[in-house]
Amino acid sequence: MNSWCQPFNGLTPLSENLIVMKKILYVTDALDLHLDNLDFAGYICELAQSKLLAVFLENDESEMRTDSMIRTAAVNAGLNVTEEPLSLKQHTCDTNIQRFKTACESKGIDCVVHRDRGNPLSELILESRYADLLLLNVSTTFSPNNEGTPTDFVKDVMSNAECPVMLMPASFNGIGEIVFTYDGKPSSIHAIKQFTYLFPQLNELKTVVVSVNPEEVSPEERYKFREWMHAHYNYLDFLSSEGNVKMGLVELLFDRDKSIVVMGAYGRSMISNFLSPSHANPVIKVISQAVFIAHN
Amino acid sequence: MKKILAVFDGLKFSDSTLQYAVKMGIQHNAMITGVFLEDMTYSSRGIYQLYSEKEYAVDNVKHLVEEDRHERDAAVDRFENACKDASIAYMVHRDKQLAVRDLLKESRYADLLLLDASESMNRYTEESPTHFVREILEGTRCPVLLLPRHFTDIRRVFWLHDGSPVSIYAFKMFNYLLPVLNVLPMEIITAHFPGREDETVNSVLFKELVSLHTPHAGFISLIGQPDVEIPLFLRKQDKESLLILGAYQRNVFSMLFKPSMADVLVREHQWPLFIAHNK
Repeated sequence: MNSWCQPFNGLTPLSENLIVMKKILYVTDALDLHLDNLDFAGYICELAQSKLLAVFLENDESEMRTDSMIRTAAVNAGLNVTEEPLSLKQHTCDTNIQRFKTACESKGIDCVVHRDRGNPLSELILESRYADLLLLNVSTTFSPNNEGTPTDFVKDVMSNAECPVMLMPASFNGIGEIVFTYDGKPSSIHAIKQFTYLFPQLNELKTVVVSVNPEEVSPEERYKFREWMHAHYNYLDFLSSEGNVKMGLVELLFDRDKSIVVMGAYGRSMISNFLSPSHANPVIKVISQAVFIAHN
Repeated sequence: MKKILAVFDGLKFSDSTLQYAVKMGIQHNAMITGVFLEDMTYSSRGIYQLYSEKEYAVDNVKHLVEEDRHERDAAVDRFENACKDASIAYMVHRDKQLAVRDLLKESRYADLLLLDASESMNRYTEESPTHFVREILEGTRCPVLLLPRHFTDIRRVFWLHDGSPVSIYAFKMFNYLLPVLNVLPMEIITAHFPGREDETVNSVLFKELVSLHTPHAGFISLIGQPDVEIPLFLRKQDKESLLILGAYQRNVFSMLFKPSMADVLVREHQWPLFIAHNK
């Protein structure tokens, strides 16, 4: 055996279980805190062995929301509405941060809070450059108008963030499987890789790859893709459907439970479609799962 | 298990690539795919050596082609034997198509690509970075570890940080892909003209990211023109270092006026360079 085949420089070989601490951001509107997401966020942090960094977007420079909306937010935070709107907003933000810290403490989540006072989108994009993952609520908005989900703010974050974004599920009771969407395009492969690099520990979980019209990708490329997947995941299943991409995906994703759905850019436009405002649409159920989006 | 591509030219076999590949395989429990590019338009001889007016010219050409084939087979054998000796998982891809295009495709389904910085995939000696290396760096879909001519163990990491998003991307990818090397001593090097310090390097967000990923990292701030000062500084350090770099793709204008930091460092053939970009 040659000398360079020896174990070396005192480093332990085998990286499989070596976890690098990740920087995971929990993003919230400082006026509209959803503590029901916290179980999911806590799970992700534990998985990545990381702290939870909460980003409270206070939007002081460009607040468009009306006084009555701020009063509603104050009431939701459990405050008495007797103050001036400006100080009331400040008070509500402070109270929400306190509520968040208390909730984290009671759930045993190690948390740190960032208060970003400027324009929410530009503050968040800058934060994302120095982060590994953003956890975001699909209904986050800073607009005074009523919006469907995902809101324009969420769409903007999804297309401009410099790290992957995870849309948090409304309710959480564990993760049972990972669902990758694959269409052969660079962005879908990029998303799959980024997810795998962030959560290498999930390789023992049931893993499903869904594709619509898989024949559109050359057999040689599909082979290489499978080769890569098999190197990273131990329990793989490949599902496909034919025809219209949108309907096909809905069909493939509809009945899944306790899953994280991973999507590339095919993701971004698809998500907007999935979340079309019509609540009667059964498709909405898809979004009750966690969705991981990365683009390049 | 990560998938690492090691690129070889069967006619000019790089020992350095083989040694780094085997080490990476053991250290990171990775599967090494030896990609042997056997472009049909590339042989070890020039057209005039093949050309002859004598009657047995065809036999002569056949003989020369045969010789090349033997050499390529021998290269594959060397790779296979080294992997077997080290008992790491490996595969061999022999590719007879146009070299670059195929390799770029292959990089989509790989986690890291190992490549000797002097690889040219033709029989001429070119100044580094060669056309081949440039094309790979610009089109790759996975990070590249560009290797020096001679193997040295990696005992230290330098991140050359210029404050750009792509530089941060490279740092993140390094942490994700090579966590074993993450425990090595690490220095973050920045360079700026006097009084023109990049504030992002001192920002809370940046420090926070570094403190989570590499809490042991030190900061070195050099004053002067980056592509002069950084190589100068590095030449004084131990050879056993790996450098992390962002951007290879830059806008056309800056490409015309000055070579990128990567070009400058590649020419030195001293250190393995980890290069990643997200476009």
